[in-house]
Amino acid sequence: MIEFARKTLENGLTVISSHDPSTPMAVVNVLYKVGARNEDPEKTGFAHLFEHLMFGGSKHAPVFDRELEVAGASNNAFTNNDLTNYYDVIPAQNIETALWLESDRMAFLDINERSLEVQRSVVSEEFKENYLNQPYGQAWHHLRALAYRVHPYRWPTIGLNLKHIEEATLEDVRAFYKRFYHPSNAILTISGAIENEEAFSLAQKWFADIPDPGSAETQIPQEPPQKKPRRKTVEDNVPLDALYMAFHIEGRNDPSYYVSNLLTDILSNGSSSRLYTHLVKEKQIFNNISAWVDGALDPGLLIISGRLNQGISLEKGEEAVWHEISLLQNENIEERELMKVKNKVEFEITNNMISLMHRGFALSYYEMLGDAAQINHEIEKYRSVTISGLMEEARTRLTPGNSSVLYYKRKQ
Amino acid sequence: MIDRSRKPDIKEVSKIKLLPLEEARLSNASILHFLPDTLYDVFQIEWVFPAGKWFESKKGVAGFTARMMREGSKNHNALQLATMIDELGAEIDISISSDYLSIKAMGITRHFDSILKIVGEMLHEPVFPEDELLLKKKISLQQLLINREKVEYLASGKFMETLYGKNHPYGYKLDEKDIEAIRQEDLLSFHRQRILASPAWIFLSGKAPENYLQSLEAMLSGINPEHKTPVIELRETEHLEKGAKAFVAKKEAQQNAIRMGRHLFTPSHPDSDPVKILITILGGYFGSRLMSKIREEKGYTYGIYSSIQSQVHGSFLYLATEVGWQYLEPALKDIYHEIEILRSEIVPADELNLVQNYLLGSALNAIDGPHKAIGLYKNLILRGKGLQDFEKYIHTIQNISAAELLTMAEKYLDPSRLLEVVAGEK
Repeated sequence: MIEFARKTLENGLTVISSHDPSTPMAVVNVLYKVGARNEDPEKTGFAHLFEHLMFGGSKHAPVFDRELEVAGASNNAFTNNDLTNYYDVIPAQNIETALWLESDRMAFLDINERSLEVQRSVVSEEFKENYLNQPYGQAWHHLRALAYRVHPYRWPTIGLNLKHIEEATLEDVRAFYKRFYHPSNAILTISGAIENEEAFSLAQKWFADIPDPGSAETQIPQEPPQKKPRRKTVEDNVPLDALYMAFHIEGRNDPSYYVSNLLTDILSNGSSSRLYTHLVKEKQIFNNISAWVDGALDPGLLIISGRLNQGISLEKGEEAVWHEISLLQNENIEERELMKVKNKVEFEITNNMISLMHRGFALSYYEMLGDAAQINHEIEKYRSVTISGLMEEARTRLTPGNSSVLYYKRKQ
Repeated sequence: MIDRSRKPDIKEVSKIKLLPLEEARLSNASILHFLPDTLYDVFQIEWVFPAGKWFESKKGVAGFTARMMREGSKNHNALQLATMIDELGAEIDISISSDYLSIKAMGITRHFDSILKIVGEMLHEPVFPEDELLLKKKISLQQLLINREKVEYLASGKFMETLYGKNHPYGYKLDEKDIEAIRQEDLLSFHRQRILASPAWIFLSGKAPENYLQSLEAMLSGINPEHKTPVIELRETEHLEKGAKAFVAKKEAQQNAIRMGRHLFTPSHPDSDPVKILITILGGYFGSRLMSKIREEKGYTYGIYSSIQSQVHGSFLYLATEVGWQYLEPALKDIYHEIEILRSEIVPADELNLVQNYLLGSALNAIDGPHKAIGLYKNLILRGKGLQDFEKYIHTIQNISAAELLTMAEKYLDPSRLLEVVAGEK
């Protein structure tokens, strides 16, 4: 059970505090409700590029990192399709330094040509390091573009291409900051060796005078239901053929999210899971294979992907996956198998909560979903999933008409 | 309105309180180190054996032994073992490093006994079935093909190979021939000699049931460690005394991977703590010299880091980055330039103060929570060190002088002694 208290400042900033007397540390976590899904299709990769600029210094603290490091803190951030999250891990006695810095960059970020120029280059290198210069690195670009036609989920967080990043202008960046970086679009969580009362009064002290221009809501085009199977074949310099299959599922707040998540656990969580046992070990079709849900806020994807053993065709691999899907749809899942994936989820959730950093993010995240208290009800939601629910989910979601299949083929 | 130009005062981390460790000796001479915590109903336990690559009689044997220990025991086949673990919601990882083989289990406290029983089977009764071994070899051979597409794999492989030599346990890289040559008997004999006959270091953290010691003893019943561990002949490290350069070509690479470094010393060397601080200044944190220059000023890379890699038989300096291929020459020039500055100018007082505070904060964070803290203890214990050595490290951080850092830089960062490896497109 994670104890916490919550308050909203007058300017709309949500503040959560979770006191933990067992640690000498504190974590300041600031989540902004902006991600790649809020981007302009002509300017993709922006939310993530902006995350980099947030480290470029602010009016009263020109060198962000230095101020934190001198206080004994470490910090980082990440961006996904739905959100951008910043966190500072700091000895609790210095927590004010983190609040000073986070509030200053929320209100007075210094956006200048020099910082933009450097970060454009850094992000281009990140694009190369993680996507362009990796075998299969471009699979996600192809798969997303196949599965989504209109929703911004059709591009990955890094962006559609290098060009969009290289062409980002100072004006674009300033407009983005104004639109998304303000109190009512953020959730601040303070956790660790700080009493709740003190946390609230410090949050009040540093954040209360930041003005709020109001709602940052974006009209996000929603994806119409997919009717027919979609397929694409890409040839690339890769050593083994790879198969990617994506199926549309409901968003993170829908009760069926828990069902589809357990469905992928049955398929591929652990060495006794079905795909590994049947397709890697027994039939030796795949070199590796896994399945997961992306957990997106708007209707997201369930993905199955694997690399084929040499000498086995992509068609044969795909057929084997469809066979596994039909087993889920038509043959009873055993009670023991369901219990197994529930136990695994329970352990994973409990174990993650040990980390102060994870708790800080999780509280902000569940608050963004609607209610931070959800952090304490996740396990029971998974516990309530039934066999018939799983089979039903498999029958409705894992169909050819709802599938996008990508063949990532070795260039001959 | 709050006055933002007045920054909050910084209070230095002056005291780092380590949680007390409980110790016990098991009947087979294994030593248990336990860091209890009662907040969450989970535990983590790790057995560490002196059974890493260093002790192999044939390349790849330690790694394949580790990978195969979960693939079948006297009483259960691979699928049965996997199902038993998964049903308990537990996780078991078996891995090797240069010096050690480690088996780590994590799970919910109420399943402690059941999880230990499964670990016991993997530890003491693995049978290394032929068909499972064949499959693992096949998967490894294909993974090799994928790895060779990555410049970071090519560069780090070449770096280790050049630093230690192609046949040294720390230096070799497995190729097809090595993988094909692994036999079931190799694994059986390695397991018998290095695991069964050897006491382990055991590290337990989190919430354990009251009877945890009995459970650990029960795992040992029926084990007969009659085989004496053979004495391993110490190999001479092929010391790369002079600097060297190497290049691995990778066609159409968009980035080049750079790896640089040199041999340093054994972990107990008196210079070890000061050099650690020096390497932190160079490239050990976000605000380091290399990150500031090569990422934040020039934008050549997404990241650049330097660290000390510690092994039982010697540690080495390791510097790693990937840069756009067109930036290779200027990036190398900047790296050498930053090294040169460390060797010729003293570190300014404010920078030194920052690094001291940063390292103290990191140390405090490193012991936050039982699983993290046991990791710190483990590193000390495996290197034959104790808490007093950690305290000494903290003391060194608090008291190091710029002059001493300059001496360390002169002594250990001589560019003519560095090995430089690049993989990518020239």
